Amino acid sequence: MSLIDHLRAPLFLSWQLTRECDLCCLHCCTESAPGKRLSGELSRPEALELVAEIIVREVPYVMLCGGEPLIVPHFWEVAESLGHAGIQLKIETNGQRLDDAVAERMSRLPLRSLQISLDGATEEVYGRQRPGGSLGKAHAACRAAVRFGIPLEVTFAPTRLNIHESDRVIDQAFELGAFRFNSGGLMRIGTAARMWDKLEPTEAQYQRFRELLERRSREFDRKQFELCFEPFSVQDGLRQSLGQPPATLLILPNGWVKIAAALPYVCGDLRRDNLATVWDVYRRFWNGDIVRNIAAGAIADASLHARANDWQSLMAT
Amino acid sequence: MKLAKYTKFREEKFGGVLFETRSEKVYSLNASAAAIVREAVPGIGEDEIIERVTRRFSSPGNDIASEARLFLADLRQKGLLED
Repeated sequence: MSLIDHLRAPLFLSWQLTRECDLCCLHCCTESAPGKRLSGELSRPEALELVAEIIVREVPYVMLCGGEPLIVPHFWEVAESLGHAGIQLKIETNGQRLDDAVAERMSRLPLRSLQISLDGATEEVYGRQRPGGSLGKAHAACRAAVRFGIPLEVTFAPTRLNIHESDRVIDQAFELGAFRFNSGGLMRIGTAARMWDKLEPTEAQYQRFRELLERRSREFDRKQFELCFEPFSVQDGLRQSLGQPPATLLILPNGWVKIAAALPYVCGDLRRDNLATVWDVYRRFWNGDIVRNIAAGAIADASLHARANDWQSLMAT
Repeated sequence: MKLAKYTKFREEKFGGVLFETRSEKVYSLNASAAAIVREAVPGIGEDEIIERVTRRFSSPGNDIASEARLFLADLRQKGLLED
């Protein structure tokens, strides 16, 4: 029996509010971009209904992400309803719209953290990997967050385009006041999978990157600033999940619930089923051979991750 | 004494869980441990927590007060509780 078998509800929800985004990042694992809003995304009333259920089920921690969550019209209603119920929040944003007013409003939420992507140390490299984005705006968003006392995390997705700037991005994250720098191997999912030949760092680049992360993580007092890069690869993450399935549900913009980010399989539909039902199904699947075999297959063959966004219902299996 | 800023507590059939959201570490608690943490949730002094727990669980030959103190010290040391 795993921990999840004893829990009456998930401990963590990762909720993609939308596929719409104001950037079209080359490495995006959700394939978000301008005009990519899904036709069946949860409406405001549906999202707020889900919020009410999350509160009743006492889920302690929710991450709001996307796409870009700040462009969702009901983002604040969702975040503030969860926050007023004492649920801790993590918000993932590209930081392009996060000014002092937004940071001040966010600072009133029980924020576990705000995560901003810094995928380059220079405008040129950042802009190449995140077309439409401005590194200056992302840095300004980090400063605004810290000014208003928001715990800041920085994330860095290494590619062949930006990996040479990773050392400087670590310095920038520290100087901007982040408490954590998150990274790991590039996920072969979504847009990144389509661009794989252009993006995948070489083996030598990865080796130098890992050495850098290990060396630099020894330089900092972990209580002040830490580098997090384990599990490094999707396969490592799946291996961990096989050992101890996470008490986490990954909610897609249309209310479907995925079994794991790197797998295409869906174990529920929150538009149709309640959270308790989906949680039961999720646990049942992680205890069964189907998901364990699928996960083992994705560990053995990383190219299978490229299908992670071709969602398929497990209910039919 | 109260739950640390990034610690959440939820009661479960088996007792409860403490979830430290910064590290995303989960600590399972048996029924007695969960009962002690439940007393700490509103934010009261350690002596008061011990007194309440003793009142509820004390039995002859059972030094619940010292055990509870040790448990609270351990949670404080792990950063799950703060003064």
